Amino acid sequence: MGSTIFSRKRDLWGGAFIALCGALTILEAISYNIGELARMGPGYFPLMVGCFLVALGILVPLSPDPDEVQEAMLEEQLPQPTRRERVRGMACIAGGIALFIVLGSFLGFLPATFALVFVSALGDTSNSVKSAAILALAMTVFGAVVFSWALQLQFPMLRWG
Amino acid sequence: MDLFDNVLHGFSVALQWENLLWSLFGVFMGNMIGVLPGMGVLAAISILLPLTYAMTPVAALMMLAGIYYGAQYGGGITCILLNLPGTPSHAVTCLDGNPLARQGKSGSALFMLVMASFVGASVGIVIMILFSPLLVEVAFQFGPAEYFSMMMLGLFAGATLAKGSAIKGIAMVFLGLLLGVVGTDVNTGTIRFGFGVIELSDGIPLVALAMGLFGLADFFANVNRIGKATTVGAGPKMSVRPEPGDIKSSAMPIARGSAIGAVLGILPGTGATIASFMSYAVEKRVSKTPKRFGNGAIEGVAGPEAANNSAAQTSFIPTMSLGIPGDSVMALMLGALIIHGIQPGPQMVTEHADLFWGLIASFWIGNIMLVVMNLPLIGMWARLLKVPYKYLFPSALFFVCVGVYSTNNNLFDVGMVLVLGLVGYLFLKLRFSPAPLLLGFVLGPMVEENFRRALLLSRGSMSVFVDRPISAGFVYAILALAAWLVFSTVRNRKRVRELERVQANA
Repeated sequence: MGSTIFSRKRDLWGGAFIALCGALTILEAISYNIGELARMGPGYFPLMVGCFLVALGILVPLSPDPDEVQEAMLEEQLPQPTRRERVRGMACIAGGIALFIVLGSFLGFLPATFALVFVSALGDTSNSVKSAAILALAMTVFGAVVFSWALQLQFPMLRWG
Repeated sequence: MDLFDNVLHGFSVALQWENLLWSLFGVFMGNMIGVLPGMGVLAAISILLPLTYAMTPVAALMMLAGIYYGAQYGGGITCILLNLPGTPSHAVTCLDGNPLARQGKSGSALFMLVMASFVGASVGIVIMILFSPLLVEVAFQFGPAEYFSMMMLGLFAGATLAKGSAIKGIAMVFLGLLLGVVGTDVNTGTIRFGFGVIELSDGIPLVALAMGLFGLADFFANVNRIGKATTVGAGPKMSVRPEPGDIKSSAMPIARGSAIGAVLGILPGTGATIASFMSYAVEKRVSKTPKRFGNGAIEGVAGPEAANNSAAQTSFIPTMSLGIPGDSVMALMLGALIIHGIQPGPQMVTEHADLFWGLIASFWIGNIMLVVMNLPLIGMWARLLKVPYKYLFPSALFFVCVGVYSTNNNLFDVGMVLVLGLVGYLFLKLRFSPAPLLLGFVLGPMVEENFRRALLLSRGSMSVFVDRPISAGFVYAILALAAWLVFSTVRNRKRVRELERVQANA
């Protein structure tokens, strides 16, 4: 029950998102020189694309796809991660990448790699702190050997500030 | 004979040590990635793309192509043994492949899988050799109006014929065109959609976009899900031994599948996935005992596998000879060529003959290597299925980050992957397929350039697109697609209403 209504709602959000993208595109495009058909300025093409996006955004909720509805029904029967597990997984992956960027620019490649793999591995509920640490250590050693030593990646191993 | 010389020349290029090694590496990686559940071909190609910067364009393309068709072999193995499609083009193989494995006939199914793949691919390669030069002849007569109409047809077809809602697909194409606009306008030097961020003045890097949408977004969606929904059954005996009747009953399905795949691979927008679905439908229709399908019919493995491998090869035809990719994987290949400073299109076939014919020759060598790798080593691939996702994705994430960093030696790009990955996850949740977006992104700058040039030449008259006969043909095809779209939307609305009624009663 409810999956068709849910997919309706989803299409409404999806359409709104596309239309919003289109509207913002139009706003930005008219700040450039538009020109005319024979001599188009930099704003002409984005303006056209923006108009199409707005139109398509309106059409999306009006054209539901039966396969999608059926797919959603099938998916409900498969075991799905709980909301908690999903949030944890996503937060750890995103956090790991953010740490890679921060540590990479201040401390260097080795700590960045370790943090990335360690934190993102913790996102999977079946990983323990120990198994995540071992995996992270292995990847760090692997990364140091393959990328820095063999492929000469331009990324300092360790640095301060 | 000209053609024969070209093919021979191709083999001499493909058999050079460096090229041979990279092509072997590519098919090996492809096979492995195809087997690993939860790893897509697109993610794999984009992760390994930065590795190719130091290579010659020939070796780079051979490796990347190897990943693509190697994954076509590997994906089928996962289907048969795990009932889990490694790549979407193998979803159909699961239907009959897995029941066969459960009946203890996995050896027979795997053998037919490898043979059908090889025959399908060979047919595809022959078609490519014969057909590409013809297409090049035609393409030399193309002007900007033809290119624009043809690209629009390709984009529309790619969006509407792919799985899922057609309107959503088209919306994604336009989003892709929009993302392609970001950066410096080549005609005026204006920085568009840069919002003052200096790193955006070169545009969004293809690698960051592909990794975000196809790598990271999938990790977000699959974390804590894979390994839960898919419990590996008891390890089946690994042997690749066909049963005598199977080869005979598979011969015709393989032939039909190869033909279907070859045609659908060339057409814009249709590719390996649609080819395999269509081949399955055809086999079911011509079969005297359609009831067996879904319960372990060997024809249901052989036909679709031949079709998707054949399509995987022929989809290179429009990409190489016209510069128009038919699907997102080909869009990535095109992007890789452009990164290496080669503009695909009819000129490429004549100017970079070693690249074009070398690639074709490498297909054949690669496919033979795949047969060799898969028949005796099937046990090794099957063991690979047991690598748990919890170790796989953090390691893959590391390759994503390092790969993106190495493109420009810039951590800003890694941040861009994170943002694009979150956007990609949103698309998945809203059921927008990201593949047409990539197609639009790669073609975007070319679409705009040809559109502007065509109208500059015609002094602003839109009729140029229907006055020239070839261009008009493409425009009419687009209109036909649009008409079909309206028709199917109306029909779909009815079907959805019925589904709702059924649900309300249940």
